[in-house]
Amino acid sequence: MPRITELVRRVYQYEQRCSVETAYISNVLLLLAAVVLAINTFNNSMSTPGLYIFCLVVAAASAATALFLRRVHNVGKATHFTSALFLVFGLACLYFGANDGFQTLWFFLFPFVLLIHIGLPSGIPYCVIYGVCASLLFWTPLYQYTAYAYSYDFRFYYPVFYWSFFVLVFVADLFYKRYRIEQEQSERRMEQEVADTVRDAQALMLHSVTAISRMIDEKDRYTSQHSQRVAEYSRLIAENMPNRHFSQQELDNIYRSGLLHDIGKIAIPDAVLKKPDRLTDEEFATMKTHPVWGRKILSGLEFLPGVALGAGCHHERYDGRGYPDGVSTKDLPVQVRIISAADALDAMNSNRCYRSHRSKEYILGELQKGRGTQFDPEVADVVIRLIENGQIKIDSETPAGKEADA
Amino acid sequence: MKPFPKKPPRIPEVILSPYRDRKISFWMKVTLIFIWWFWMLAGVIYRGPTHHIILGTMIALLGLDIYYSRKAPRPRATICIFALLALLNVHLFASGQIGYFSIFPLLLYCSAIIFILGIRVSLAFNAFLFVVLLCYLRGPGRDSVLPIYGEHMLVRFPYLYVCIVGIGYIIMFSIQSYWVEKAQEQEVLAQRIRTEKAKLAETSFKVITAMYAALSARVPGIDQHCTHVAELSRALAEKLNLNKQACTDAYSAGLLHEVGAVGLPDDVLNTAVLNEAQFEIYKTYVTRGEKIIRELQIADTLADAVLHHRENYDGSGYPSQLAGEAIPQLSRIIAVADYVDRHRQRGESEDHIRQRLNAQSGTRFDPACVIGMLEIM
Repeated sequence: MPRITELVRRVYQYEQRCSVETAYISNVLLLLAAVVLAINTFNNSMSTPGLYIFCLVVAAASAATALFLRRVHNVGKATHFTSALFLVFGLACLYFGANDGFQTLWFFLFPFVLLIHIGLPSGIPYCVIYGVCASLLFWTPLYQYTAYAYSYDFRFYYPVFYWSFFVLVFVADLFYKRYRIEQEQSERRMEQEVADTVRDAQALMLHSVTAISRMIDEKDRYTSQHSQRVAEYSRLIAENMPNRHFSQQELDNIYRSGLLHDIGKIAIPDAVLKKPDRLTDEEFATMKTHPVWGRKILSGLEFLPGVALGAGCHHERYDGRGYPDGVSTKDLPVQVRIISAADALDAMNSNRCYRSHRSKEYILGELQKGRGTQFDPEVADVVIRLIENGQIKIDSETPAGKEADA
Repeated sequence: MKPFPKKPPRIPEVILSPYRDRKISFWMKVTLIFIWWFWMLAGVIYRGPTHHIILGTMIALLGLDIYYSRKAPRPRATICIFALLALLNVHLFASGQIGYFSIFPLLLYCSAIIFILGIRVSLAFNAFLFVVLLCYLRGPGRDSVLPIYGEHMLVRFPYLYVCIVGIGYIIMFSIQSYWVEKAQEQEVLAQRIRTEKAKLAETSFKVITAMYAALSARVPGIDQHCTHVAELSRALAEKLNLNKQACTDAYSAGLLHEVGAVGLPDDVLNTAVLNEAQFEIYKTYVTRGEKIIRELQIADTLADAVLHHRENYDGSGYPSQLAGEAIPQLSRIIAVADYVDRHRQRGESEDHIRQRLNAQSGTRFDPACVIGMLEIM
């Protein structure tokens, strides 16, 4: 029993939120109009002229409401008005007992019309009022005051059947709406699941960069810091490129590309990577393999566009004399040229284990010299401008102190 | 609530739609029984001819149907029982046992079957019943029912019938079009869930492969060991009847269990026999690996599995000295797989490895994992 009350309560609240299903109400009204019209056409001999005209009016009103219902903005009010009208009509029929009482049988339709498509909150009052009035009129001595002398049969069974139809439709409505509530919940769950999965996939893409850069961090703290700076320089350069506009996503990818460009160094033995002196030719050859390793490691991550290319080609040059493949960066996306410039810039602007960083003049000179040979002239110009207006800081003031740290 | 669909499903599709919401059907049957029982009660109060025998039979038949189809729908049995019920209702109507109102049980039955049987089946029933009704009211049966119902009822009842049953169909149509529409929407959603899940799995596989590639670049020769451990772990997870996701996780965790080794210095990595100090450094690879995997944010199961794969079942392992069930199951699986592959690579015989596993079952390894692994080997 409490479960049923709970169900009724849930359905009631649900239907308060629902809009009226206009299309179906129109269908119901059209059907009513058609039937009333048919009765009048085929059986007019059996009714009084007054009833005949009244039925015609009812049919016309139903049809008109059906047709105009779509344009009515406040469907709720319109249905309330019509229901009230039918209720009054129904009570009048009960009193007059037209057509030997058959007219009252039409109001078995009340629950069918009102409960399911209009909903419990607005349908129940009319159904219950009519049912209670009918029961009172037929089951109490009040029946003596009706205009038509109903038989005992009629008085006894009319309310019985009215309430039977009412219960039937009421239960159908309850379980139909319960089904709708459940379906909407499960749909929400499924939508949530889709959203969660999409969010997870995006988070994974994002965090995979951090996780992989963490691997460089474990291997070599210096490379990790270097990567961080290259990533920031690259993004700064990309933002300041004239004639080009990068979307936020492209900027993010340039940043990630910078972060991962030296991942290949993970394969270089510590003896070479952390050697404080100049490298021998053999060691330098080992060192030169790191872009190849980088490309190999990142080649599967095509959801991070350009990252593998950035790792594989950041030592290529504009004139094609770089390594590992000696291709010209002219033919590669601009992102690669940006990263290669940012990498060179940070190499000059930081303390390496074998030397301290260079002065501002030296760096500017190198950039000028490499303009069109090592660097894309456009990118080099941007870097020079950024250094000159101070957006890229060159620590030329305290080279001695830095040297001591190194 | 969503607005009513602008483009409702096509009409034939709705009418032919299979019956989806068993609850409506069940509760409508219960309601019918309740209503019939209510009529019996009314018949007791009513002083006059009653229809108790027919109503009792109908209740019994419907109860039988509810009992019979309580677990799974049995459409054929239900249709047979409802055909019998229809005959009983027609009999009730034709014999006029409760007078003027004897026709209404039939009307109520006709509208109830719309909800109980669905549009398709109930249309056949209702068409038949309407013809029977017309035969009595307008055709050859007219004389037998005229004294019971009177002129008005005979002339007008078909209109009432069409109205009530027609509205019943309009209602059922809206219910069934809701079924169809929801089924379509949920199919689309389920499809999206599948594709998004597949995409996520693919992405995470790629990330794990990239990390594995980085590890192989750092520690030459480790890739073979990791692949073997991954495959053994997955096989063991399948043996232990873990779910599909857990088996995939076992494979991934196997691939990545040594990922922390990227952070170890060269001298530790390249020395075969470690001294005390080196071993202390070596042991950090599990926490290093865990930190790296933890960065992925959505792979905490893998991170935990990697962190604890050097724990022993009796609590003597590292890094956290967990024991027994406190060690994540994936870690216990990887521990066994790792052990087996390490010893295979040292060229030890399978028998010897089996013996060693058995000897350390319950101390170093989870006995369940050992049993599974022995079956696989």
